[in-house]
This record gives sequence, structure tokens and C-alpha cells, in this order.
Amino acid sequence: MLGALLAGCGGGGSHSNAPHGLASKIAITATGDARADAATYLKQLCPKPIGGELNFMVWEGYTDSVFTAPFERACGVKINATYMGSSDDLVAKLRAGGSQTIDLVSPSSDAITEIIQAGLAAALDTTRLPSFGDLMAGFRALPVARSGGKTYGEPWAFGPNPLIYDSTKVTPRPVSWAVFWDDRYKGRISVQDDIATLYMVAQYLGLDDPKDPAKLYNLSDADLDKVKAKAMELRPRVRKYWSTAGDMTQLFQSGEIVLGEGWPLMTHQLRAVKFPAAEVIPNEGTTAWADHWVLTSGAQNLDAAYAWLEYAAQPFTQKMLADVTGYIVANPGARAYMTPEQATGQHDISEYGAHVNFWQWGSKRDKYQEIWNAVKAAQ
Amino acid sequence: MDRVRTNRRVKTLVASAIPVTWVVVLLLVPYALLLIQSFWRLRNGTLTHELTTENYRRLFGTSLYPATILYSAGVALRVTVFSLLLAFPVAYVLAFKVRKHKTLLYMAVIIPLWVSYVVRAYAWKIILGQQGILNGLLMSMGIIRTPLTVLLYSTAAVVLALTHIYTPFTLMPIYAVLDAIPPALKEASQDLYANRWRTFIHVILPLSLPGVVAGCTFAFVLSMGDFLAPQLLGGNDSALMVSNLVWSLFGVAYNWPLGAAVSVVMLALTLVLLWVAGRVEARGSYGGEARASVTDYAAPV
Amino acid sequence: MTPIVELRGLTKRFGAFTALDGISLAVAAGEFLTVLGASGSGKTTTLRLIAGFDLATEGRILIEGADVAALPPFKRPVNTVFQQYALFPHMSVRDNVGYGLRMQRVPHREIGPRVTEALEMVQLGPFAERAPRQLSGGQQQRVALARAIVNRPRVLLLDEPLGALDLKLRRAMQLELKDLQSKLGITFIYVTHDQEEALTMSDRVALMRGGRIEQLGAPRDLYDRPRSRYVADFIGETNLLPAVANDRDPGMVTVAGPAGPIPVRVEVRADGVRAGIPLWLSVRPESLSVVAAAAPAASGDGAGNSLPATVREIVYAGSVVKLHLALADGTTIVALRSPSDPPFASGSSVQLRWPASQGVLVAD
Repeated sequence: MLGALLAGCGGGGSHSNAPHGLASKIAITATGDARADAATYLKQLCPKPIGGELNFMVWEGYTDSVFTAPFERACGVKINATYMGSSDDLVAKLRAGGSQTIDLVSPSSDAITEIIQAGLAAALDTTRLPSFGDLMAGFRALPVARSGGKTYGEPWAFGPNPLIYDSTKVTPRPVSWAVFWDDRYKGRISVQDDIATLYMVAQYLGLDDPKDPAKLYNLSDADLDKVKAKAMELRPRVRKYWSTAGDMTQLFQSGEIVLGEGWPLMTHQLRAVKFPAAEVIPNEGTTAWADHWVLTSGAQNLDAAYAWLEYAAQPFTQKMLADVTGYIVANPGARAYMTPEQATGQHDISEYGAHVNFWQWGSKRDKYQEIWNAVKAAQ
Repeated sequence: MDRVRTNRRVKTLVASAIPVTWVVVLLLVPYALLLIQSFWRLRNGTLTHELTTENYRRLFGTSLYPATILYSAGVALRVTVFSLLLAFPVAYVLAFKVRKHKTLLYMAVIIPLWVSYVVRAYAWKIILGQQGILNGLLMSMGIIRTPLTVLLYSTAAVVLALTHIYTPFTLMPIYAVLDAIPPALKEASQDLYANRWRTFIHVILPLSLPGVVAGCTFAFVLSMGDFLAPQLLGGNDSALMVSNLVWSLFGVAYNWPLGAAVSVVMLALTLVLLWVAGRVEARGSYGGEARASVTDYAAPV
Repeated sequence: MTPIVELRGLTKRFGAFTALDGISLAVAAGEFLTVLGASGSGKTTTLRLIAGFDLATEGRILIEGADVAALPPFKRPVNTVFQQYALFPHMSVRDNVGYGLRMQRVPHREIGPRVTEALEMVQLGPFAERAPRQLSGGQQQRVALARAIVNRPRVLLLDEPLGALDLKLRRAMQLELKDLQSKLGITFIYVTHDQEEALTMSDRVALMRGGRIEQLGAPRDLYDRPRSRYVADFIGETNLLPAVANDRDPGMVTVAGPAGPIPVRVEVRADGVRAGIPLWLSVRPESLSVVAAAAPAASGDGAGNSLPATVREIVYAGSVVKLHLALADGTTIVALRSPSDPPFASGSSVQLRWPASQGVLVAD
């Protein structure tokens, strides 16, 4: 932390001389090779090292060395990353003073509103982000990242919370969350140790209203009782609750589970090791998340932070993010680097939003938490 | 004379200032803050400094909290019993039967303490999983046909891992007490017509009581407050012990007042337990004052 | 009469180390036998073998004619008083003393009176309810004694029981122990490294050396007729003069003088004394008289010996004066005189005189 502070001071010094923010975009000749283009680009983004450190608190997969290491080398910035376990984890951490020690976070569509509301975020100076306009218009237009006419988030990636299954063990292909209550898979299921599981149960019960996405996050007490009762039925069918993507992929690989609700990252990682993982968005729909980069209110080393944000918006950076996570990335230009097969997985957020319900920060989150704990607790 | 006395008083004061400051800064102040916080109100996700007993009413009024404390105590009790059953015979053999390489063997028993907790928990996953070593063995021996799921992600797995982790903590004070028993006491007992068993019952066991109480207190308090085992090895009915609940209240729900209230209740329970343990020990040694008392070891939780 | 305890060829080895090397010993009923020796001589091992805390490597231990060598301690009719008392810290004095009776399942109504009686015998009646920790060293020693004698053993084994007490208390306890022993008629086998204690208390003393009994006998025998230089040196204080045997006259030896060997007459010769091996003449300090060099030979003492010596140091010790002298070959000699005897100046030449009956010729 001391290092970050000192680095911040150093960054401040150079800031007063010549702000690192770019007036105009850096243009490079695209070669179609994301890594090579990133290297060419970074040489111009950081003609001389910026120095210092950046502290991240992000979702798993968002600081893969494939795209962070070239940035660290070219700009002379050391990135220290912590993974967040859940949206609440991030908000609690920032509230408890984390906004003073962490520079950049990657909240989903739920946590970002809470972070802005609580004054834990700093508005972005988009004039320092000349590539901001290249990002998906519908993603930039999401109301969750705006407040009082200011923009707080730079779109990064989005995706659903699909049903993931072992295609050799689960047949036919599931079409409904009902498969979680199917006796054939009793004790071979994993769901997240998070209130996200309650959303899934509510969607299965038909409590989600496509015309009013907010309803799912603000269910009435009566509806919550139903959700709790159904979740209690699910309980004995669960083998283990997962907390990290690593937990979930391990559970599949060690044969403990055959299906569960997770993130596309897991399907992607499982396939990478030739595990027959498949994913589906069930008929009842599912929740989804749209992740932004957000600068914290206490962020230090702004030159480095803006350099990172500008780099993060580039099509080749986004292509590498898609490679690592399998998520849908915010810059449509990234598709130019992809094989047609990879590009088919990329959608526009406005078309995608019709099938899924993007996470929101509900007013009764505390209540949801207690219900979730009660489901987990010994009876 | 008077000056000497004053001088000594000043020295005593200075000498006691360091531990007193230590206790105040590191123990009393945090606990006082915790206590105060447990009476604050959370309004719209923000802490307000209004005093309220709401947190305690919610704690005792919602079955989740007492049930979780009870479940944790049940796990801790089992861990304590198993740790004692494992630790006592080993400590006894080390203290009385082993002559050569005693320190070496003692270290061998204690060394697991140096292995990372998480590594040990993962080792249990490898052993107990459906495709794990134990299930494989049982199946190849034809004892079971399908893998047992109760071995992993269950209360049994949590108890097993905690027993593995805290048995050395139980063993240390028991060994310390047994090793301090002069061999002449055993000989005196046998000289006075008591056979080995009666010597054990009438001499060794009562004299080891302070170590047993200290060891059991360790196992109970430490496993009651454990956080990782339920998270790593617990299943659908065993993933939540009281520390996970406190963590969830502090780190997820940002409900510090309620988290503080649960912590205060746990602290109170622990203090009661330590007090009872102290009493049991005092009774164990004739004429008060025991050789190794639980309060010598007990770390505040 | 059969001995109450008999050891036959008792040997104990710890690995390559032989702690006890085939000792044989018979103890009579009611006897006070002291096993005396330096540390490592095997005296404590002997006691532990009799008690049963260690098992003998070879040999037999007969108690009242029955071989107990293979029995565990709790089946042997002996009791032990330990060096550090070994009182049970978690029991009161009363419970400590009653322990042996409870373990023997003596009827409950009998235990109380017997414990009280034993405690009164050691004058600890009022301390019955105390914890051992609350007693002084001497009191703890008495509890240990009471805890043993309450069982009315035929043989009591005592392992340096007074070793941890200060000198004054030790002297008092020595007398008390001796008194108790004669009152109870129990056979005592008493281990100590303190030769004075051994001489004071015992009927017989077994002096041990290197796992063997060097000499067994009444205290007086050991003092007056040591069998070896070791015994002479260990028991009491003595002067050892290097001596050479006379081939022709077995009653004469020569010791070094200022102008060549001086003949000296001896009347007591230990076993193993012969010509050609190193010999010593042992003369106790109190047997020596010191006279001025010019003094005439004492009349009427035909067997008197005389040696020239030089006074080196005079030490006043209350009831006696200790004279440190040097012989011609440098050998240091100690002689005792009364403070009322005419004093000598340091450096003066004197004659040492002693009757032939007071010198003992010993081998190594």
C-alpha cells in the first residue's frame, strides 16, 4: 500500500507536467495478430514508462497475463490483482476502506450502481479515452454506469449465467432449470454460494417479469418465501456450493458433479482441457452481467489507470480477453481478429438483453443474503 | 526507606505498563469497539451511530443464527472428542514409552502444523472424493459398489479435517503435562501396590487433567471458530459454520452491526467455556493452583 | 536363620554398560544395612532391582526365601522412600499415606486409624489435610516415610532419603530414622553416598565400587580394617604413605625418609598385600602424635614408629587443630592435635609417631 502511495506521488509529479491522457487516438496498422498489434500499440501508448503500481479488484480471468503482462512491460506499471468472490464481496471491500487502496475494479451491472451511489467511484474523463466511442453503443448506453450526467464505467465484457453440464453424462440436452430437481442428478449438482442462486430459483418459478427486469431483484416477501422453499428442495440435491471458477471446474473434473449454474469462463476453461462441457440458457431465462472498469474514488496513479483503460478498450486487447474467458467483449472490432467460429459467439448487447435479465442491485439485498444463509445453514 | 519503596513502585508501574498497554490496545479496545458496533443500526446499507438492540433481537429471533451456533458447537464437540482420543495415547507413549529420539518423534507429530492448512484440506479432497483414493480402495476390495458420497462435502469431512488439524494442538499441552510427571511418581504408585492400570487411573490421569482440559479447550474453541474447513470440505448441509456466517455478514452483506452481535455472542460463549475449563482444572489439582493451566495457553478468540 | 533379603550373583547391564556386576549379599531381619558408594558405583541400581523398578539381567533376589526377581514392584513385599519423596501432588497428606492401603484393598475402617497412627509416628498428625506442596522439605520427607511404613513392610528401601535436606536437619533425621527403625523392627536397606551417615546409622555397611561390593562389614571394621586403599580413603579421613614391603620381615615396610628409606613396623595387613606391587600405609590423622624433632623416643612403646616431617600449615577447627605436614618425599600428611597441646610454628621440623597397631598396610 505504501508502494502504491509512493507510486501515486510519482505519477502525480509527471501528471502536472504533461497529462498522459491522449488527445487523439493512436492508429496502428492492424496485422490480424492481436499480440503483435498490442505490442505495436503499447510502444506508442507508453513511449516512456509511466511507472508505479495499479491495484485491481476484479473477477477471475480479468487480469490474465496474456494481456496484462505486455502492458506492465511497456508502461512500467506493476499490476496487483485480487479476485472478488461476488458483487457483495467487492462492495463490502470498497465500503470498508478499499476505495482508498484499490485503483480499478470491474463491477457487474448490480454492484456498479451501488458503488456509484455510495460515492466509492470516480467519474471518468472520457476525453482521456479517445477509443471510448469504439465500444458497443448499447453497452455504453446502459443506465447502470451513469449518474448525474457523468459516466463512471468503461464497458468491458458481458455474458449470461448459463446452465453448464457434462454432455456425456446429462442427456438429452437440458432445456429447463427443472433438471436441477431431477432425481437422476441428485447430489451431482453445484450452484454458486451466492444470492445469484436465488435469482435462478425465482426464474425457474416464473417470478421473473421480462417487462420489468427489476422485479427479480426486489421480490415480495411472499415470493421470497416461495423461492426459499424451492431452494430448500434443491439443497439436498447439491453436492457442493462453489465460490470460485476453480472450485466449479474442479468439481466437474473430479467427477463430483455433472451439472450446475456457472459462468461461461468455466465452460471455456473446461473445454480447454478437453472436458466435454456444454452450456445452455434454459427456457425460463437466466440472469446476466455486464462488467465495466470503474475508477475508485481514491484511485492513485491516474496516468497509469487511464493508459490501462484506453488499452483495455482496444480490439486486440478485447480479442485476448475473449480468448481467455469466452465472454462477449465490449469492442465489436475485436471480431476482426477472430475466426468466424469464435465471432459467432459474440452478440450485440441490445439483441442479447431480450433473452436475459442483467443483474441489478435490489433494495432487499440484505434479506436475500439472510435467506441464502438460511438455505445453507444446517436444519 | 520511603524513597526505596516509591522507587520500587515506579519500577513496578513501568514494568507493568508494557503488558497492560498491549492488552488494552490489542484486546480490550477492539473488543470494546466490537461491542459498541453490535448496538449500531444499519440503515440503507449505511452504518448509523444510533443505539439499538435490534441486532440481538434479530440474532435470537431468527433460527438461522442460534441453529448455526449450535451446529458449530456440535462439530467442535466431535472434533474435541476425536482429537482427545487420538492425542492422549500418542502423548502417553511419547512421554513414557519412548526413550530414544523422543524430540524427533515429538517433532514428527507436530510437523503437520507447519503444512499449510489449505494444502491439508486439498489432500483430504484427493483422498475422500468419489474418484478419490479411499473410494477407489473400498471399491477394489469389493466392500462397496458405488462410491460413497458421504466421505467428502459432508459434516464428516469437516470433522475429519478439523480433527486432523487440531489434534496436534490437543497433543501439545497433554504431552507437556505428562512429560513433566516425575517417573518416580509412577514408581511410587507401583511400589505402593498399584498395578499399571490403577497407577494410570489414580496418578497419571488426575495429574494430566490440566493438559487434557487445555488441549480440549484448544480443539473446541479453534474448531468452533473455523472458517475454511466448511468452505472447502462442507457440502449442502455443512458449508456454514458460525465463522462463515460472521464473514458473510461482514464481507458480503456489509451488516457489521449484526456481524458484531454474532461475534459478541461467540466471545461470551468462549469466555464462559474458558472459565468452566479453569474451574475444572482447579478442581483437578489438590489445593488449587494447577501446574499447567488452560489460561496459560488460551489465546483470545 | 534365613536372611530376609538375599542377593545372588545380581547383575544389571544397560546396553554395554555394566551397572551391577554379580553382587551377592544377605541381609538379616531387623538389620540396618547401608549401601554406600560414590555416584555410578551401583548402589541405587541395587535398590531399584530389589524394589522391582528395573529388572535384573542376571541373578536372583530372594525376599523371605522367595525369588521375586521377575515380579513387578506392586507384587513385592517391600516399600520405598524416594530421594525426592515422590509424593502425589494431587492428594492430601492423608490420601498420600493411605494410598498403599487403598491399593491393597485394606478395609476402609482400618485405613483411617492406621494412617493417623503412621502420621503421629512421624509427628505430622496436624498436617493430614495439607497438600504436600504446603509442607517443608523435612515434613515432606516424613510423609514419604509414613506412606511407606504404614504398609508395615518387612523391608524398607531408602534411596538417599536425606539427600535434599540441609546438614542440621539431616543430622536430626538420621537419629530419628535410626530410632524409628529400632522401634518398628523393620529391615532397612539404606542407600547413601555420605560415609559419615553410613557410619552413624548402620549395623553393617556395603561399600560399592564399579558395580561390585568392595567391602562389607560393621562400620568399625571398614574404618579400622579397610580391605583396600579405596576403602581406607573413602571411609573417614586417612593418610596414605607409599610403602615398600620387606621381603624378609613381613612385619616391616619402608617409607621414604630424608636420607633414604626408613623402616616402619606394621601389625595389620589387608588381603592381597604382597611384595612387588604398590602398597600404602594408611594411618588415621587421630592416630598420629606430633612431637618436636629433638624429643626422645617414647619409652615403653616398643612397637612405636617415627618419621621426620615439616609443618606446613596449622588450621584451627574449634575442638581440634589440624596440622598439615610434609614428608621428605613431599607426601602431605594430616594430623589432629588438641588445642591445649603446645603449638608448633609453620616450617618447624617435627617427628610423627604412631603405634604399629594403628597402621594398616593396603594394596590398590
